[in-house]
Amino acid sequence: MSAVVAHQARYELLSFWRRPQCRFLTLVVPVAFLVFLTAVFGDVTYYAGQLAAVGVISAAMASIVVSATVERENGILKRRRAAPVPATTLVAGRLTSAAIVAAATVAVIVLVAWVAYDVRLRLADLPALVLATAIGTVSFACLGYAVASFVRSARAAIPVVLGLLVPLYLISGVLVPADELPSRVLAVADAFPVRHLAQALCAPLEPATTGSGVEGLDLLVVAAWGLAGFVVAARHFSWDPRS
Amino acid sequence: MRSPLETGAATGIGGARTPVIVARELRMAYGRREAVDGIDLDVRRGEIFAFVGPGGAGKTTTAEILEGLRRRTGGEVSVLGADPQSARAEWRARIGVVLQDSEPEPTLTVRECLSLCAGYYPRPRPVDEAIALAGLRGGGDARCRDLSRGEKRRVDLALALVGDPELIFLDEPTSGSHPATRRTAWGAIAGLRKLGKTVFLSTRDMAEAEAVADRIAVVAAGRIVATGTPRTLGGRDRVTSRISFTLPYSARLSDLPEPARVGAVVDGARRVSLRSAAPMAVLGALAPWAQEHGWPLRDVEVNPPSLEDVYLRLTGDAR
Repeated sequence: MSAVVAHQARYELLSFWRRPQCRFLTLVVPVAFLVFLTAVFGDVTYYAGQLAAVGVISAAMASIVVSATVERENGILKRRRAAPVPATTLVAGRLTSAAIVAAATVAVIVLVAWVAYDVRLRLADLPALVLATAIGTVSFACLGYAVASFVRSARAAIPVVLGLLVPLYLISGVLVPADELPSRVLAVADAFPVRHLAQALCAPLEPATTGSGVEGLDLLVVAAWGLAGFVVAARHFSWDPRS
Repeated sequence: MRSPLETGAATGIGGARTPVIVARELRMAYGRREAVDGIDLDVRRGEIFAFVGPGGAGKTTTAEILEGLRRRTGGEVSVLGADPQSARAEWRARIGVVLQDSEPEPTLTVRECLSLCAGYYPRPRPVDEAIALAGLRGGGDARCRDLSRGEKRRVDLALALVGDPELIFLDEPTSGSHPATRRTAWGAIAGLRKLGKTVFLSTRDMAEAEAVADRIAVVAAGRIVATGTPRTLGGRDRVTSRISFTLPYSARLSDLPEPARVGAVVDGARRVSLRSAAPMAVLGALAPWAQEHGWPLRDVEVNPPSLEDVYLRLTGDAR
């Protein structure tokens, strides 16, 4: 990893940490939901996986839509483009910071599940969890840049993100258990990446899982969405506040 | 094949007269609208060049083309010997940019913003030096979102200096600043001359250009309408000065000596005013005349046309 990427990531993390709303949304909300939903529906391993997905999606997609639109509007992105630093380095730095936050959120959820609910993550399942977190972060970060390409103003960022994610969370069984959702609803959810990421993150936590815990097909769907996001962002993302 | 422009820029590198920015017939069209309509520029090494004009005259578009942030639709441009359109990182490291609309990272402190930016450059200037050069007081530990508009503009200036570039673009660097803050900023900009930097300053404010610039180009509706030094711009050194004084109580207009009588008018408050291309000749005739009659000559004023007057005349039609 280049030194400038690490440098950029460090300051991105600092910016993230200085925003209380970011800390609250990414780190506190998933844990609070884990506790609440487990109390209502039981099945802590299921919800640990679901909310790990929420954490990854918040850290990658939601926070990138917000930071990219705010920094574009303030002319920060454009000013950085005038500096001798390649766009790929800036994006890699942002991605690294998102990955660190995503990993921290997943770790907190696993830890809370372990301490409070006695959910044991086996060492053999750790690589699967890391892989799902990594693919989820990169893919949803790409989707974040894709969405940010079409959000004109920073004020619209949070409404757009919530408007996209909350319905997906509802139909994907993130909040209401998938068992209680009609199969037609789940069929729609399966076309989108949220449910697949949640399943990929659930498997390593599930005691009944045998083998590596890698849900290859689910991860493939998530990665395909990420690739689509990358193509859209590469074509439409603008650094300029005026266009 | 090399264009004549590139060859010209490549000869005599480092000399005081070396052009740092050369533009010929620079054009930028947005659809049918010509935002920049054939601009020629020669900015020399070490000078502060002001690009002055009203809003929408094409200043920002021109600056962004020169900064390599925007592709032109016509003409030839060479900045530091290269076409900004195909600029590489090494070229970018030699320019510094204050954009018209940009803010420092709101959640970072001034010093953190500068450290972040310094990390992009191969040979950055120490952060505290950039803070001092931009005339920023208060240590740099404040979060940028807590700064006033004028202070944020000063952080932008420090951000443009932290990479230690040789050419600095400033697009309305004091807009929204308090008058006192503006004067400090002008001091900081003028100070860049001593460091041997070349400055391309875009501004709407003729007073700003007059305060800091070695040369001024006035732009209106995408064209340059006048170029010159603050002294000579728009023929300011050749046009007439206005002379006025109070007519002594017992004197009549017809009593005035010849050079002071031509074209002179008097108002109800006995205030005489006339225009002259040679104000010293008028004063030279007036003084002995008044002394001879023992009349006191009060409130003598000689006013050259202000740069603001020249500017308003130059840009008046194009607005």
